[in-house]
Amino acid sequence: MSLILGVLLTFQLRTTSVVAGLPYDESEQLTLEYNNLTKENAGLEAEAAALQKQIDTAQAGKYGALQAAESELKEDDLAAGFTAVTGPGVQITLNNVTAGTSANAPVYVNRDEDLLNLVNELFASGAEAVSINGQRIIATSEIRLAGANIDVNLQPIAPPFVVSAIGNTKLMVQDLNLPGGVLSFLQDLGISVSVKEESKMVVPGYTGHPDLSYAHPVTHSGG
Amino acid sequence: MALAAVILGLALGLQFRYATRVAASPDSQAAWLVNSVDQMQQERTRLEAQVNSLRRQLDDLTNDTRMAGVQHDLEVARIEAGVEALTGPGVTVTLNDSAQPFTVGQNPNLYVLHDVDVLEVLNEIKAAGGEAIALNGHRLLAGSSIRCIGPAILIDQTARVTPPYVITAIGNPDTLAGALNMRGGVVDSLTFWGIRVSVQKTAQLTIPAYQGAETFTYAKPEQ
Repeated sequence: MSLILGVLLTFQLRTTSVVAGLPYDESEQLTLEYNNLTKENAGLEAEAAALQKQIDTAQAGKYGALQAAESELKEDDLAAGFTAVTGPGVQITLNNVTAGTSANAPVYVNRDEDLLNLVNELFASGAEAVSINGQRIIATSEIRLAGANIDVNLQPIAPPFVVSAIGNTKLMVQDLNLPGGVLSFLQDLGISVSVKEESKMVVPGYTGHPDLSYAHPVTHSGG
Repeated sequence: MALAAVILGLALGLQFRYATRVAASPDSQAAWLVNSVDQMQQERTRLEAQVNSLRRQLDDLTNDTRMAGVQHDLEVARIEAGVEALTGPGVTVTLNDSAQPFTVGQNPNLYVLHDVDVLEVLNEIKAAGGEAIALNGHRLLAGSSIRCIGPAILIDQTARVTPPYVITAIGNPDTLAGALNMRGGVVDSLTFWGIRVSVQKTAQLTIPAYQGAETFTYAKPEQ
């Protein structure tokens, strides 16, 4: 009896579906990698073409070099998150629920880690630009409890937290609503959660001045 | 006795799983996928080198004191956009699963590393002024995500890494180490569960450029 249980347990632990001669995990992983590489290589090809165009501009006229540098800056600003972007997306509002009884104290308070998880989940679902209460998330953005508030980009934000994400709306909503996913987790905790799909929304650009005094580009020796 | 039978059952189950795995010769579809991914990775390496060389050419052409302002903005944007490798002082944080043997009744889940743990270490680094971060050699950007898949972590839905997780970050080594090692901080709470954490200040480390290119399909610059 126990023996049978053990064997069954193993099967349950390791889902068996072997579709293409590879264990499920691996074939899924490879397909994912294949799709991503297709996208990345296309992106790199576009980037190379854009740089070549700028080099041509820089070599051409009197103001060519400045024009080329400015055009390069525009692209890097976009990739860095310094530029406001527009597109389809989802808006998720999280609010603390206050007890209906005498006390007005929140039953449950949003924690920084909940926002951190939500943002991570959105990016994992392919979000291209995310902001929380108007603060654009860039590579160096923190989402961290500081005193009574949560700081994002060193700016204090308070509930309700409005998270805006531009990307594939269908995919993001589907992932958010997975059973046991981030939203059901928050709802179980008693947080008020609302999700709104938008065919067009704006995510602002980062407006601070990142203090970058320690990192330097690796010098291209021999280049 | 019953326990022994369960263990035997588990062992049998595992053996069966391996047997089926070996017996199922990878059919043409799997072979094609493995081969394509391999080729595309080579292609990506080639494209990355091409993009870097073009960027260097453009830098040489626009290297002019009259353009100092643009050059500075460009440097900041490029750091946040992750387009080039960076060097500087910082910290190396190594995370590994607990080495403590489990006793009956313990929840082993608490003693293994989760994506959330890694997320919180990364967030702490950003809050302490981390300027550029890599996880197991993968540069992390604004849109980066990490997700647990079995005993591994999937970075940006593409790269699968397993423990130990090595986080390298450029910034002020004392500030970074101080924030991580703060009493009641993230290192404290991880070591409580037996997770092995080491924080090492490093005088000079190198963070690679982001692999591939950040492409926006849905987000367009706001006019």
